[in-house]
Parts: sequence; structure tokens; C-alpha cells
Amino acid sequence: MTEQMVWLFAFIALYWAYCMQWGVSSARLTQGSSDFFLASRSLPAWVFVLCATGASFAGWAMLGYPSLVMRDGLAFAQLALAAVTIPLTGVLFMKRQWLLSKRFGYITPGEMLSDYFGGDALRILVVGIALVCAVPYVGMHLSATGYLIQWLSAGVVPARLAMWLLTAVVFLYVSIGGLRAVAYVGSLQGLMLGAGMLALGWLAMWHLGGVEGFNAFIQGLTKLGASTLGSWGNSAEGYNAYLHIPGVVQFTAGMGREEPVAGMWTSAMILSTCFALMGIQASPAFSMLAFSCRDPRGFGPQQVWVSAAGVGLLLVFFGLVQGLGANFLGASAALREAGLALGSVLPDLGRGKEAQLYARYLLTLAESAPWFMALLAVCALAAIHSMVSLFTATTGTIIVRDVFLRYLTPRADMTQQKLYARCSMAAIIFAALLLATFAPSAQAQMGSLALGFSLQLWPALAGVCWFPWITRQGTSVGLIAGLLGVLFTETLGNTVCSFLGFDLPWGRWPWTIHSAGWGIFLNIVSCTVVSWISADRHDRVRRAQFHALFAQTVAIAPKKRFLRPVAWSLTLIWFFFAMGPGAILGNDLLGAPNVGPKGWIMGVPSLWAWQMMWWALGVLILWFLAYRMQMSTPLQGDNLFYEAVPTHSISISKESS
Amino acid sequence: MSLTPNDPAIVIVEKRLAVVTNWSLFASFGMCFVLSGFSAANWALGLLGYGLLVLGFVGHLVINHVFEQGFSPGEVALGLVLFGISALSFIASALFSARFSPENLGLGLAGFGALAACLVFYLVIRYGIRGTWELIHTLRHHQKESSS
Repeated sequence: MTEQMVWLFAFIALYWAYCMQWGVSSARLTQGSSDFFLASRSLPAWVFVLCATGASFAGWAMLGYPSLVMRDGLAFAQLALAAVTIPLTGVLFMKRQWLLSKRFGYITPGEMLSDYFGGDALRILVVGIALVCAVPYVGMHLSATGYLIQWLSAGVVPARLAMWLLTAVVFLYVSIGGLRAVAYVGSLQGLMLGAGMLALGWLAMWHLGGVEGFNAFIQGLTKLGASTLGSWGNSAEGYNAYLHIPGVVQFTAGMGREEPVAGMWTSAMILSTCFALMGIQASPAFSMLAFSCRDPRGFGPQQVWVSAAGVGLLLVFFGLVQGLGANFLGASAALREAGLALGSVLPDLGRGKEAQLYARYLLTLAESAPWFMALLAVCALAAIHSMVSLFTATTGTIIVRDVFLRYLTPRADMTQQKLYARCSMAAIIFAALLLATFAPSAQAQMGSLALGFSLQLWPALAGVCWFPWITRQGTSVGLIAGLLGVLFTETLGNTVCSFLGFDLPWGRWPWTIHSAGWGIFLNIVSCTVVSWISADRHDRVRRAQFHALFAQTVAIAPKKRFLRPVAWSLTLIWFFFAMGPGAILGNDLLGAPNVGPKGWIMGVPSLWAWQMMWWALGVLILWFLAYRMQMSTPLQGDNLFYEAVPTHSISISKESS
Repeated sequence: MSLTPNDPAIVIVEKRLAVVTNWSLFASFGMCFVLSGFSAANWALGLLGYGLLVLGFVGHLVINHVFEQGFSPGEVALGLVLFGISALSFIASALFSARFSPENLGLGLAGFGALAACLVFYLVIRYGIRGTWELIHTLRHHQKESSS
């Protein structure tokens, strides 16, 4: 066994010991159902901050983002601004959902939606969405952990064996300790995510030659900008597509039918993919994580400072250097042949091998610092497991509460509920592993639906939290339309149609718009129209009771109400220029991509500078919404407490003591 | 019956979680940098590692302050045992390892000096100069009494 393997196994063993220890400690604190399902609604702010950040960014920020930046260049890198948009969902919905859950004792979002709108259709749809997130999406991430270990062990440990073993430990601590164990382990996992991203960025910088190497890297980008090298050739404007957004939208038939010119990352694609990523915090799993908080004190810091500012910085600078820099470190055969490479520490990672980027960076440490290789591998595993464990635990709970308890065994006691939850978690994990092992292609097709599906809960959550005019019928029809919209603009929809004997006239992501974009468009239109048609005075009065609770407790102070239009205008302007149609201004507003540092106003390619600028403004806007608009601030008055009540009696108890 | 959010059992576990999480991060990265410093005879990497261990210690002090608690006997015992094992390993390496360079010696001494300074600094902040002296004096007095 090589030294690097010994270190790798040692660090994995330590990580497992940490996970199991907190699984057992959490189990000791479990007395009632709320303890197991929602960590006694007692998660402190700092645990929420770390756990939610880890689960929000998990694998895509650590492994996916640098790989795709390496492949697709600065246009894809614009998605770093998702560090601002992902928590925006939390800013809009988290505090109000938490309040309702605290007030009425909801454990799952299905219970909340069903209670708010009436009827059970939404409850069932939420179960379906949670399952799509839990099984194929989790399976995709589990596959990634297996392949990481396989690459790092030079094939000694097969990917499938590694995946099953790693997942067994996740299942054990989640099923023993419930959501508390997920959150407690998640606190370290969130830190490991940040530390791993930072360390990999520094490693890339070190390989590039430090500060001097960075200058050489910028010179390399200049030469690249003036060439036609790269995956996508030159754009219509004559710039290298690697440093350029290829237009606002391209009316192509979709991937697999008609390839877009100069790359697929048009403004429309960037914006709609960002929408998809915003589905992460709209997912049922995040609603339940919010329900489990002691108070909303952690929401603002998580959304503004840790996600938008912290992870944003890591993505905008370190992730980008890692991805773009890889091309100059040997990962791009074209650049190496053209004499633009600054090193050769990485092998050729073209032709679909970009997913290996993280592992290949780690392997550069295998000889000189195998302990670091092992530690950074565990960082990646921990980041992925933070999301996997959260989705598994919450979906297990959702199945028990919204299916078993609602329809099958309404009188199940606490012990039975926990047993059912553990069985559900086992079934979810087992199904995910089976899919990942025996049907990776089907898993990828189904997994790509997950975020788009989660995003479709936006109008429902908007109804609960903000708009009493949205009706049950509108939400249900909108949600179904949205889910169908996502399905039929993804590969799976095409596959289903082919199976049924007819072909859709479009492929995946037609008009360079992500399936989540199509889904949410259909969802909002249907929801609005049907809500208008089905408006019912009696129902509206019932829903208004919930909004009266918001008005009493979390509504913005009257003296600040004039800021509302300012806030929404700023947000829309930000979206327009940061990742909407206005993002193409960033192509050459701060210097043409092919002129080099002398012509680049901020010393880096225009699109990168544009991204940094709008990231900083995005943090400011999120701060404005979260704090100045009081959307993520703690409740006023510490003496208020909210005792869970089973009915809709809207009254706030004052602490008698 | 479920626990309440402010149940003392939860608070105790949360403090332990904060301490373990803090040390898991800083100790793992700190030790990796220290190892890299020794392996490559590189002062910068080694000192960065010690810096991270010191940060871990400071983090522990902050956690103690937030939870309004001191070091538990278990934490003190674990800290002393780990410090002792590290010191013994260092001395053994210096005496018997053929690859042990002067840079390694300097790096080790600097690191242990920094960690010892942290301990003294903490005691002075926590108890004051006079209080620290009295603490040590009392300990010695107790040792003499028990030996006689």
C-alpha cells in the first residue's frame, strides 16, 4: 500500500469517526418526534449557518464549477454569481416559513402548504419533488465520491465499492441521529467546503507560480483571447468564445439537435441556470432545515456574509483561477501544443474528462504532501455528504409524515414514526446506490430534473409567504405545468416521448434556456391565470389569517416601507446586468477580450472584472434585503415566543415569566 | 416528550460540538502544514501550521467565552497528552533521525515555543500575573504536601 493510500484511509477513518460520534451523541438527545425530525427545533445560529452553506454549495461549487470553467471559460464562470442568487431564495422565504412552522408546529413543508392552501394535492407533489431530489440527485453526488476515491487510489479501490462504503457511513449517522446529526456533522462539513475551495485555489496559484505566475497567467489569457483556441472557437464579434458570452439568446432547437454557436452559455442560459440553482433553497429539505432552527438569527449571516460574500469570493476568484488556470497547467492539449502552457502538472482533461479536475489537482500532491492530498479529498467528501445527508434525512421524514402518517398509519406513535423514517432513509439510499451502480445514465437524466423541480415550489412559497391572492388551484396547476415544462425540456422528457413513439421537435434546453427557466415560466403564467379565475372570497379570508400573523410579527417597520420599491428595483436591475441580457455588456465594456492587460481597465479580462463588480454589488443588495428590509433579521422583542398550536388561532403568547 | 431548545443537555452537547468542530478544522490543516514544513524543511509552511494551531486555541478560548465555561478536565488532559506525545516525538526525531535537519530543529523549537507561549498568555489573561504565580505556587505546595 502506498503512502498516499495510507494517509487517505487514515483521514477517511477519522472523518467516519467524527460522523459516527455525532450520530450517537445526537441519538442520545432524541426523546420525542420533534427531536429526531427537527432537532427539537433547537439548532443554534452558527450550526445552521455552516450546515446550510455546506448543503447549498456542496459538490457543484467544489467539483463542478471549476471543471466547467475549465471547459467553457468565462461565460460559464458568470454562474459564480449564484453565490448571491442561491441565498436570495432563503432571504425571501426562510424567515416566514420558520415563523409558520414555529407557530403551527409544522414538521414538513407538505404540512405547511396543505394547511395553508387546503387540500392534499400539494402535499403529494412536494413528496414527489423531495423524492426526485433525494434519489437520483443524491445518487449523482454519491457517484462523484466513488470516482474521486478511485482516481486518487489509482484504481486500487473501485468507484462502486468506495461509493457503497462511504454511503453506508452516511446512512448510519443520519438514521441514528436524525436531522440533529445531519446538522451537527454539517457544521464541520460546511467548514471543510470553504477550506477545501480555498486550499485548491491556492494550490492552483502555487502551480501557476504564485504572484509572478499570476501575471504570466494573465498574459496567457491575453494570448488565448487573441487566438481561436478553446472548446468553442470564435464568437460572431471575432472574440475567443472562451472569454465571451455568446449573445443574449440563441434560438436553437436544443442540445442534441442543434449546437449553439460559440458555446451554449448565453445570457438566457446563465440566468435560467441560476434560477435552477435557486431551487436548492426552495427545496423541501431547506424548508425543514429552517424549521429546525431555534430562531432566525442565523438566516442573515448565512445568506449575506457566508454564502454571498464568502463563498462568492471563493468562486469568483479561487474557483475561477482553479478552472481557467488548469488549461495553462497542462489540462488543455490545444494550449500545450500552441506553447501557451505555464506548466504540465495536469494531464489532458479534454474530451469529457473535465470531471477529474479536482482529483488531478490533488494527485499533484501525492508525492510531496500525501497528507494534504488525503485531507483535501476528505474536504470534497464532506462537502458532498452535507447535501446527501440533508436530503436523505428530510425526505425520510417527509415520507413518514406526509404519506404514512397521513394516509396509512395515522395513529403511529413516536417509536413507529422513527422506525418508518429510518426504513424510508434506507430505501432512499439503497435506491440511489442501485441507480448509481446499475443505471448511471438514467440516474443522470432523472437527477438533472431535481433543481428545476425544486424551483417550481417558488410560486407556492410566494403564496404562503407574500401573496394571499395565489389560490390552491393556481398553485397546483402552476406546479404541475412547471414540472411538465422542466421534464419536457430535459433529456428524460425526450426519452419518454421516444418510448411512447413520438419525437419532440426540440432537444434539451431549447433556445439556450435551461429547463428550470421553461418550467418556472409556465408555472408562473399558469398559477397567475388560474388564481385569477379561481379567486374565492372564503378561501382568501382563511389565507389572510396567516398573512395577518406576518403583519403582526415580521412585516417591515412602517417608516421603512418607502424602501420597498427601491429594493425590488435594485434587485431587478442587478439580475438584468449581472446575469440577464445586460451581462453581455461585460464582454468588452472593460476592455476587449483580445487586447491584454494594457487595454483591460481592471487588469483582467472584461468579463471577469464585470463578474467581480456585480458580485460585490450583489452582496450589497442581499445585505439591503436581508437587514435593511428586515427579511432575515431576528424578530423584534425577545420576550415573544411562539408555542406550536394545531389550529389556525393567530395569537402570540407573551412569556408569562 | 421532546426536548426544549434551551435544555441544558443540548447546551452541553453544543459546546462540545463547537470545540470539536473548531479543532477538527484547525488541527487537521495545522498538522498538515507542520508536516509539510518538516518534510520540505520549509519555515513558511511550518510556521503557517503552527499559526493555525494557535488559531485553533484562540477559537477554543472564544467558544469557552461564548458558552461561559472554562476548559473541562477532559480537554486539559487531552491537550497535555497530545502536547507531551508531540514533544517526545520531536525529541526522539532530533536524537535518532538521520534526516533531521537544522531547519527542522529550529521549526520544532519555534512551534513548541509558540504553543507554550499561548498557554502562558492564556493563564495571564485568565488569572493575571499574580494569579498565575499563585496558581503555580499552590500546585507546587500541594505536590510537596502529598509527597511528604
